[in-house]
Amino acid sequence: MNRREFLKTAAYGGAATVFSLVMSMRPLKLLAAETTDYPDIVAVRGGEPAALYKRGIEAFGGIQNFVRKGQTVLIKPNMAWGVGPERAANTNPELIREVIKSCLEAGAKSVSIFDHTCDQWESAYTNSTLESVAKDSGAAVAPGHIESHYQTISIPNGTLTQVKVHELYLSSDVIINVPVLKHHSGTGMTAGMKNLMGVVWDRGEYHRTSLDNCIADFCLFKRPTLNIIDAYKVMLTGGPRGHAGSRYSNPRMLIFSTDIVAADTAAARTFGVEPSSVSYITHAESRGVGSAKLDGMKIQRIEL
Amino acid sequence: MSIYVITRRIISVAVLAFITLGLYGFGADIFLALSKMQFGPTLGRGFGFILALLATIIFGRIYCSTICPLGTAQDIAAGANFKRKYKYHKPNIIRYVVLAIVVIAVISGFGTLLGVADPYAIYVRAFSGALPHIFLIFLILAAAVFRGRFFCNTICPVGAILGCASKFSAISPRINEKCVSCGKCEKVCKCECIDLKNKTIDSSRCVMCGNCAKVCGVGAIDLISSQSEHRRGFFKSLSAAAFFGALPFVPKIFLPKSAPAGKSPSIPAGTLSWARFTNHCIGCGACIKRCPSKVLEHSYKFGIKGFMKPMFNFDKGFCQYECVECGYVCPANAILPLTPVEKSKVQTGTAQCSHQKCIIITKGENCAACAEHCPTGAIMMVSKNVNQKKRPVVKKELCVGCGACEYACPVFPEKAIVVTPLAIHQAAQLIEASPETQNTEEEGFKF
Repeated sequence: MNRREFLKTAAYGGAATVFSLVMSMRPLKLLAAETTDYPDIVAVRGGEPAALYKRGIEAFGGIQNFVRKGQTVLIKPNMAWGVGPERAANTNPELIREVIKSCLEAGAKSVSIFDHTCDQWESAYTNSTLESVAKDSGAAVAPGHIESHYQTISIPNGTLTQVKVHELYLSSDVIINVPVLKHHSGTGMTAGMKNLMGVVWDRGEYHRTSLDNCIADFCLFKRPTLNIIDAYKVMLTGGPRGHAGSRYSNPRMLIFSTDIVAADTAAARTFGVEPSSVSYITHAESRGVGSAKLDGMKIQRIEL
Repeated sequence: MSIYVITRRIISVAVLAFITLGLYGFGADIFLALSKMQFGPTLGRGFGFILALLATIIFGRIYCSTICPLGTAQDIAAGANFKRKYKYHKPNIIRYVVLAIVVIAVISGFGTLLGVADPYAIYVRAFSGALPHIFLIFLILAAAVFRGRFFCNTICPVGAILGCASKFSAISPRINEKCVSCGKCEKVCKCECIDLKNKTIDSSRCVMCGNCAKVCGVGAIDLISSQSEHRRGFFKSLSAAAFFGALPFVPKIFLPKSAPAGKSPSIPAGTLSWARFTNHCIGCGACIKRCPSKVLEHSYKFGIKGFMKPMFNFDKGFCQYECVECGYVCPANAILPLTPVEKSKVQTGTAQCSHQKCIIITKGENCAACAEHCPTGAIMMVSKNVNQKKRPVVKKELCVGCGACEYACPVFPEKAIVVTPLAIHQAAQLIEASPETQNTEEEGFKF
């Protein structure tokens, strides 16, 4: 081989290496969108959480479209409250169990869950049963109540320009947001975007400044890879913690989307309110976090 | 004699270990059992003090070298001083002053103030992380290095009481005729109570550690002996024990049920009332240490009777609705053990929102952190008309006074919603339950 051939080979080899490096760093959802035409929203109803999840993720090409072998996964449930699963104030444990299992089967190096709880953290982690379900399924359960686990990040155009965020949200390769849909005394309802308040340290700052704006603006910083909204049993009144007088509906549904605004919009309709009346949804759309225009979207509705 | 010393040491170290571990959440049951054997917390309100008095009039102050954690802690500290040589000291007059203070305090209804000097309470408070408490135990342990059980025979109120009961205990150590006055026993007597000139051991100060008998080369010390002076004087010890055992009941019978004057703080469900609480609690702080929500702290602003009693501080946390931990670590029955269901029916205070401070009114922004955190549904978001933003209103009969709302309220420096404590706890109503399933299984998709 002479020098010219060597240089050509090296150049092609280098370009190929750089190309594959760049391709592997791009968010998977872009890869998925380019290679196959997946729906914007997948909604599955009429079954148990495990069955709903399996059918729904299949419509997105399987969990392997989101989780590659060797990647670290953060599953962010709602486990903020020290009440049992029957209250549906926290994410359904069977759903979390199934999501964890599928991520591990896809070859994830690690799957973690945590929440910066509203109730005392041990009572929330224990009474929600999510700590024991996660550990049984092979996931790591991280504490959310230790301030040093949070790092300050900047949101340049945010209502709050500096927010302390949990290191797992910052470092995980894949983030799967699994909130429970329910009533909320402050914002009217809570689903995907509001669930991300659980990765933030100073929630009081949100309430002090402007709750709806801060919820929406956080998504400008970093969005989850996938959102799976638990609408299996929906608390209609008395949320977010619920009480003996709370009323419920049973849509027995899961809503999947990579667009957090779209997911929350569909969730709002399922909850029974106009999305335009939920301030953080309208803020998020106007700031470009995602789209609330369901009419123009490809929605796959599946009945089990 | 070695068997006695070894057994006693094993027991005392085990007791110390389990009490210490219990403060960190390990072995909750054994911790509670050991704390209920402590004299100070149970005096007049449990059974531990009766067992301690009975044991003392028969066996002398073995309590002080087995059950009391501060006693064992002092022995371990003194163990650091290898070259220690104790000397006999005449009885200290301060003990008698302490005794007088004990009697006056207990009869006048201020018995729980003795918690300041109670050895169990001092030991537990040493783990609170607060400097004054750490400093106090440090002083006591430092004194132990040079003067052995100095605290026990000078300041300790428990030691003062048990010393009266042990003065003529049925069994006590004595020096027999084999003694050659070598002085070895005096040098190891941590209570400084072996008088070799008169060949006597002062059993009112002796904690029955057995070191003297162990070190004696000629077998001159009979640790377990029945002395004639003691047999003659036994009735005096018995009377002393009965006197101090009955003393706490004097204020209960003769003093009218007087509540401490002034305001009272928020205290846990199971305390029933501030008056009852201040008459039971010795301020050991076990509940503070074990509280998972870290909402309890010692109080110093609620009068003499309230001195060092635990109270809720809703700036630090709130009382988790489902948690009942504190009632299961209290040795004095100051906080009665409740089930979560029993606790849910207790109102310890009521919350009230000052709308003029509320963010919803001052900024026009959604907040409702208070309603969000309320575990009973006592806070409703209401508005007079469609144009008015909903703001929090507390339905007082549903409020349990847990402080979740006050803690969550983001307004500072003064919270917009604040809990007012009840001096006497009331019954809380439970919110009316809604039918189990609304069974509104919606057909189809709404989008």
